[in-house]
Amino acid sequence: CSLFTAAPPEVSYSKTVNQALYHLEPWALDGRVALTGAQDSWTADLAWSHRRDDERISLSGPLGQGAVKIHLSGETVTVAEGDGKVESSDDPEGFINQRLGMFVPVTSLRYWVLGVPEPELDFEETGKGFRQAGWTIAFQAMQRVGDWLLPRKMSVANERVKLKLIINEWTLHDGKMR
Amino acid sequence: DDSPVRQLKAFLTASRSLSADFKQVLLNEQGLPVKTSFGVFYLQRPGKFRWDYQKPFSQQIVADKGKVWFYDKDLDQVTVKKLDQSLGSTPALLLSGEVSLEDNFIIEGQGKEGDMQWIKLSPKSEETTFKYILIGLTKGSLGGMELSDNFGQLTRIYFSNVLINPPLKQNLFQFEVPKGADVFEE
Repeated sequence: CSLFTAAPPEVSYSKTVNQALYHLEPWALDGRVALTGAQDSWTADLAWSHRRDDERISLSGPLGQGAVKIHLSGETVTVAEGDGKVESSDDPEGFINQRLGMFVPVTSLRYWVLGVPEPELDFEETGKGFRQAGWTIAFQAMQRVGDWLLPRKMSVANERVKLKLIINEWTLHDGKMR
Repeated sequence: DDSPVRQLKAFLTASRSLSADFKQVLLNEQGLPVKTSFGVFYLQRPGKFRWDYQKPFSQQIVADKGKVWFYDKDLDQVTVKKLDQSLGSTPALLLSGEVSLEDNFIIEGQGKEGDMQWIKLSPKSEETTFKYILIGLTKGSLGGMELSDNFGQLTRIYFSNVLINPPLKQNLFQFEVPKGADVFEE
């Protein structure tokens, strides 16, 4: 099916959270991320593939520079920088914070990128998304992928860190769903 | 014939400025193309260059006066960083003549592939983010570039319509921050 942005660009975040998204397994996205904190900012190509409780995230900068692969499984995270340089930790978010120099709520992001709040944590709807755990999550554009409505452009921010994400392509289940 | 190293040096000194179309292909560890992009590359010695990615996304990397502007249109993000002399930041730096080749690289000819003469530059310093850069010269002019990252992924760049010493408008290297973009300066 063809990839197109659902409805007008200023799509408002749907009030009803699509519960079925919590059971969407597996999924993968390909896009770009800009992460900005007080001391640093960088932009990278992003590939994220999710399988129940298993996140594989790879980031690479311009001209393929500074590629990093993050594997989050349960409570353990492993970060590989190539040439056999691999480090692991059982404090995923603390470790990623230390590697990237900025705190990124990866475990929550696994839900937010689908356009839904993290379960079991309260949240507050806003016009373009919701607020949860001290973060403001906004969806500037959505896209239809098969029968799903998934984010295409989104931001996640608190007072210290701003993350902007463009998702060029979603791959759901096995086939390439454009 | 002329040693590859001398050919490269001759090319770099002969071209005060350069413009070319490029196709960039990212090959994964298995050598399969996973991402392809197209754009235009400009160079003005010393120290100015511009990668203008046009398809499939609009991004620009502009270097001038010791700084690099990185802009991604969809992300509305401009990041300004110091042009890292140690080549850690961008291999294009070596084309811009800011860096002396012998001090920073071990340079070896890598043989011919068709009419492309490949020259390998391996960084002498440890902490660069790339293992080596290959520069391809065809008929003494820039033909291609290849960089491998630490995972063995290859970024291959093919140049075409290469103009040596074309007149270039100086505003090509003056980055204008677009309205509405977030800007971060190091």
